Amino acid sequence: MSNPFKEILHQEKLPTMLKEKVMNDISFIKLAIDVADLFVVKYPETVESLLKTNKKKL
Amino acid sequence: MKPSVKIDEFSDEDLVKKIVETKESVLFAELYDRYAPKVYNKCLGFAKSRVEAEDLTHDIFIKLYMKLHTFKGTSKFSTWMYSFTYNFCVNYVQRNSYKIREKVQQVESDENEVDGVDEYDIFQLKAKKLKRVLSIIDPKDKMILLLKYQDELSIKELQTVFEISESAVKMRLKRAREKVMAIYKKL
Repeated sequence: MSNPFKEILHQEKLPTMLKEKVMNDISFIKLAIDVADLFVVKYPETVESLLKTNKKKL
Repeated sequence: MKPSVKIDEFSDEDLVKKIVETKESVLFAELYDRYAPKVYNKCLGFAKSRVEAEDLTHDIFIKLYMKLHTFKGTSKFSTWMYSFTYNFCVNYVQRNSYKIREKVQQVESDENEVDGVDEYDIFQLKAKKLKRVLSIIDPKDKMILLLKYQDELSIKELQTVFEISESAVKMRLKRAREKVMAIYKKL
């Protein structure tokens, strides 16, 4: 029995330019996440560890 | 990424796991290559033009990159991906088209005329006319019908996708088939 739902499925070729556009945006998002991570998480952690002093018992 | 590891040998699920861990865009490019043609052709079923389908595909993959960590592996990745795509398209259509809603409301009053439509009746429909029916019907009904009859998901897989019981899935399918038949007969 033929399935009309399979017949209506489009079989068009995906434009190659689209990949470039998607990957550029993904790279930008990744960069934004990394920069945010650097300044919001890593940088404060570094400063905190620099300022922390180990109190030694005399 | 070690050069000795071949990305194309990864299963979809392993690939997703690695992307979530590393956020590596090279890995995401592989996932794009595997799914973009399917996603694009599914979007064509919801969009009015090729340009609109391209935009939808673009937006789906951007959202996918951000939401990939929500894939918990309870179903196959392909199943999850199709549901993700349809959900995005359904939201898009509902946001942009109040006209469709008007038409559906008009048809809903006639629903009771068609009763007990089974799969055999659905498979007898003419593809061209069915395409028109699916452009009128509520996109949520369109989604469940496409998942069942185009992507051939089992009832169990549909249960995981919609997070509802087996009887609820069957009921939704039955109602969707009845709506299709009601509109089909009117065309």
